[in-house]
Amino acid sequence: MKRFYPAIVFVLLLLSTGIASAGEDVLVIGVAPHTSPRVILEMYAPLRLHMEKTLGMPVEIVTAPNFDIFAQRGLAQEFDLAVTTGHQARLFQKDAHYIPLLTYKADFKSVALVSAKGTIKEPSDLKGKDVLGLSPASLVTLWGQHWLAENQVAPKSIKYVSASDSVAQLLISGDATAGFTSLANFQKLDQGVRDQLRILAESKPMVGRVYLLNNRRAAMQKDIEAALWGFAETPEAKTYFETNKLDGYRALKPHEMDEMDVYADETRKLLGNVQ
Amino acid sequence: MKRMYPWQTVRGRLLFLAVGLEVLMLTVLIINSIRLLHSAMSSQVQTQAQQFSPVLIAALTAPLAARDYATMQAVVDESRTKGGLDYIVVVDRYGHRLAANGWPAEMPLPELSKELSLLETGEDPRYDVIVPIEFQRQSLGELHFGVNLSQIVHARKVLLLQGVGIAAIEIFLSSLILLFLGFWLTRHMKSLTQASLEVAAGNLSPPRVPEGNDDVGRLGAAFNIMSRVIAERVNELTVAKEIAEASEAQLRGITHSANDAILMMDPQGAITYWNPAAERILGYRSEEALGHNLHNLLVPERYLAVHREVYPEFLRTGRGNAMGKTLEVFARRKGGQEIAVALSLSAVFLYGAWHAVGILRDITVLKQHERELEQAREAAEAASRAKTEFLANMSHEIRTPMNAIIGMSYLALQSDLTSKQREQITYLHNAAESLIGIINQILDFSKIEAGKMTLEQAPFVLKDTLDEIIRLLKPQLDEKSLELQYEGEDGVLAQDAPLLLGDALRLRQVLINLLSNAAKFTQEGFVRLGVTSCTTDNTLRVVFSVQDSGIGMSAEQMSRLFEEFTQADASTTRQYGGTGLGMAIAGKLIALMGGRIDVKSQLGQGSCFTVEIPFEVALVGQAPLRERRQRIENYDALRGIRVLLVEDNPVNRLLAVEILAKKGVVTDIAENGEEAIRKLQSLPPETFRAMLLDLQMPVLDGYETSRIIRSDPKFDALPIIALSAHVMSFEKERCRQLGMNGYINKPFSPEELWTTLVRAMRKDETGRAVSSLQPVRESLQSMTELGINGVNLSAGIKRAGGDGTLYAKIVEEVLDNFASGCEDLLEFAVHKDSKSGQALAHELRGVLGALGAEALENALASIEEIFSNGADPCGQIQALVSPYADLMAALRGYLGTTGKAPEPAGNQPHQESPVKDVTWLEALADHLGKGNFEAIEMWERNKILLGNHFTPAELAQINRALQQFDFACALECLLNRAER
Repeated sequence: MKRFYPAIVFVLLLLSTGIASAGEDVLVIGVAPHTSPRVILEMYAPLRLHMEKTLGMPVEIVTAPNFDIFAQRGLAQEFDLAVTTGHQARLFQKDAHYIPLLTYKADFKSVALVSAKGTIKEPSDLKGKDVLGLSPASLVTLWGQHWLAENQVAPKSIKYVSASDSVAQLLISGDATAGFTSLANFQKLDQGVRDQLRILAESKPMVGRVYLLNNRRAAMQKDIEAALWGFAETPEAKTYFETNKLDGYRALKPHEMDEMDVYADETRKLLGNVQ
Repeated sequence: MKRMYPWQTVRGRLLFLAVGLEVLMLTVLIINSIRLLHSAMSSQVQTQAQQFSPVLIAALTAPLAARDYATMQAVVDESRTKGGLDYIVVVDRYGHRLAANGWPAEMPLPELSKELSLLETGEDPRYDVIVPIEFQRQSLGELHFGVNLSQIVHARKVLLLQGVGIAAIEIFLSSLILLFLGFWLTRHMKSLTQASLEVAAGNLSPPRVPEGNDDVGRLGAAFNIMSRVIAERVNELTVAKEIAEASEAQLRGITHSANDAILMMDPQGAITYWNPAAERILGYRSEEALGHNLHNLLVPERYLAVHREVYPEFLRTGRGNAMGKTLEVFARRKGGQEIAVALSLSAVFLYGAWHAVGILRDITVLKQHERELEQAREAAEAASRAKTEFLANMSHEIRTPMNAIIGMSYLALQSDLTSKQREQITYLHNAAESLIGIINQILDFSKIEAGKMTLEQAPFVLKDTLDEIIRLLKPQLDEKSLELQYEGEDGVLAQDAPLLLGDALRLRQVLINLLSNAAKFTQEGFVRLGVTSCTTDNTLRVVFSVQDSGIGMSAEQMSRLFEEFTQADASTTRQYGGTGLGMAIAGKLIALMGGRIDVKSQLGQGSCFTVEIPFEVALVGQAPLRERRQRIENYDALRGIRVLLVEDNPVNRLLAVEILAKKGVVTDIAENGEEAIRKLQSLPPETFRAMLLDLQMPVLDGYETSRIIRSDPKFDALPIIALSAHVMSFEKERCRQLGMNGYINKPFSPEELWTTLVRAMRKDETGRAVSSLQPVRESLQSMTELGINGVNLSAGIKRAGGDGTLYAKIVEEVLDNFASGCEDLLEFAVHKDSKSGQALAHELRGVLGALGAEALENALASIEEIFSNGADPCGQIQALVSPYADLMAALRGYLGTTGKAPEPAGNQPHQESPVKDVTWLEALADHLGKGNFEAIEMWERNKILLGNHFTPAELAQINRALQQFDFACALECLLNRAER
């Protein structure tokens, strides 16, 4: 399968090129499906409009049915600018030659949640328990699996659900013992929901969603970076940052992406399984 | 009868009309229903599409954003199976089909349907919709889908077919019903048609058609009535036609037999009627005239301009100045000869326009007769003028020697004569006076006959006139010892009786004639003069009755009473004398005055003449005071003045010089006008106080002489008095126009000469004459000293010519007529009658000025001016009431002191016993003894005071003697009485 992977990517690349060449020059921004497509389109609409205005070209926000497909499409060069989790960003950087541009100031942390009324006090208490994750290729899931492995806990099963609130509801209802989600998403839950949950473990700060430029748009890097930094100064961006507790953009630190290699590799592996 | 097709019948037309209308309405109904259905269905389809699109787009937004093709296809598949859609295709923003169902991949997508059509086109009906898919203003792609319209089109078709079917059935049923109804309603039309045809064929009494209460039944009833009325009307018309034909024949007969040409002209001017008389009079045969323009044919060119001016008005209104009148014009005959015709025009309105009808009568012969009559009339007028001139000349020629006879006999009587000579000359004088009377009567009669008698219309006091008549008649009555009964109602003869407007002289002439006759034909008994009156509006009808106890008249005599030159019988003429003209003249004068005269008499029973004459009542301010003042003249003003007498006749010169000398007038003589002018030019203008000018003289007559004198302004103040034997009234007017101031008829009496001279001088100025009367002024001094409060008595008597008697009479007149003058003025002022007030103020001012009441005169002048300005003088008049009353009281006191006829010293009669007033009687006797004419005047003024001391016979004797200028006889009689 791995042998055909480049070929598939190439075909998809041709296809996307053909698609793009069939019409006008459009800057396609692919956003990882961290929420529903409608929310993503709504959330990134200010950025799209700003980029269209600044760059003088149409900008299109796209996403994917799930992280796997998003990763596949990113690797297939379908996106001119990709906004995705750090581990997928590392994958795109390494496998599809995307150029990392910036990330959010707020740290990204994954947390392991348990019911506040439950008996789980230690990671080891999860042994033989049902555990919930988001997408198998998602960073929080990968971190959780990695955390379980580090604590030498073998859960009974890992089930994947579509969203953080689903994780919370399943934990509260007792259908699962622990679940993995991002700290930011946990904090977005209603206070009543959060009160019924408890953070069992929290990861170290990790790079959050990263903006990557497709290498074919390298010539526009400065313009695009300037447009992104310019957007950060707009009221819409500030509202966006504040609403999502992202604090704004920041430049990537040297070798900051290297920390994501382990998760990128896992993702590449998962993608290989999917394909 | 011609067969009628169904569409020609009322029934058929109604049926066609109803069915057509129903077809039209049903068509409209169906079309409208289909249209509404189409609209509703289209709207429903579009609504369905609009409702469907958002749902599908909402379902497709997320898969499109996520490029979740499987989900998109699932959504599309699911939507098509449930949406009644032919196809659904989703394309991305680049046109790539991302999901499709029901549309082959190889077929290009259909265009968006421009309109929704439900018509059958042979293909599956479909409504193609393209909806863009956008989210957050980001274009994600397009949704293509086609709505299947087959069911809707089918339903529409079924509805249309059903509607048409229902409409067809309805039309069929309606037609049947209408057909039946038409047959039923018009079932009687056939008989009605048949009856109508019979009437048209001449049968005016067809069988009765059925009648009923419906429209056709009523039509039948109406037809029956109509056919009956037509029959009656045709009968009437037949009769009327026969009458019209008879009338036309009659009219034709009249116009054909008429002697006058009868023509008719249409509005275009063409002749439309021409009777045989027209052929004869105008020369054109009927066929030559009819249709030709009347004006071109008959009207002389000089009338055409007028015709063109008035003809449009005639055409418009049928009226014109000549319509309804008979005009004498000229018409042109055939051949161009013009004839005089009497043209009567009338207008006839025919065929909506006005036609002119003219009747022409040939008046050529009539005009010839008129010309002859005119010539005869002119000849008669010339003869009349010749007669008038003859009368004037005759008058002149007779009166000139008569003047000499009377004057000279008068002068001879003034001289010392033997009794035989005096008797002879007295006869001569009386005969001459009688002859002058006859001549005057003849001249009056001639003037009346010639229509040249004109009556004066001047204010006069009836009482004064009657008193004067009585005074004149009294001697004649006294001579025969006849009793004079003089009765008059107060309304006419009272002092405050209204003034009358009329000719007092002619009234006096009539009454004197009646009274003289009464006296003449009465030997003993009485003569009565009665006066009554009645008022109608502003007219006072005065009835005079003259009754006597004389010989009376028979009916036959009365019938000839007013005929000229006629007396009762020849014996009457022999016994009583007279010309027989007196009553004729009286009758004609009465007629001229608008009155009438009646007579009742029987032989031996006396006669009663009743004369009724209407007089207008004079307005306030027309009082004849001045006239009355002028009748009482004072000849003293003549004494010492110098006059120029221009007279060619030596006898008349001598007579005039002698008469004038009796009043102290110095007379210069000129024998003709030229000599007179030379004398005037050679002396200062004020040398002569007056000029007596004969009109007919050799060298330069009186007319021309007067014209020359009046052309020289320095003689403006010189009074000129004409002396003429002409008695025609136009002579006086001619003299007045030439600037003469007086007129004396020859023969003239001394009084006439003196009076006229005094009056003419007054017209100029009185100051100079009065100033020469220094002795008179001195004699008045004692009377002036009596004084009247508020009156400059000296000035008043001076204005009265120094005549104290006159002054006293003026005072008396003022008291009689103007005692309430101030109250009258106030009444006029209160009633805002400024005109009357001004007139009365003017008159009062003159009267009081004459009296010498200067202060009141000035006040009245102011009031007169206020009246003339239309202002209110009440205040001024009220301030005058008290002084005015004081003056009236003072005047009454003055009369009470001086008597009614005060005279300057020497002339003053004694009231209590005039006979004993030796001074007065001596003065009278002195005048009589000297043959002074003042004796007559003195006698006239004072004789009334002697009534108690002289018998009527004595008074009559003195009167008669003085009238005959027999001063010696009068003196003798007076002295005899005085001695007794």
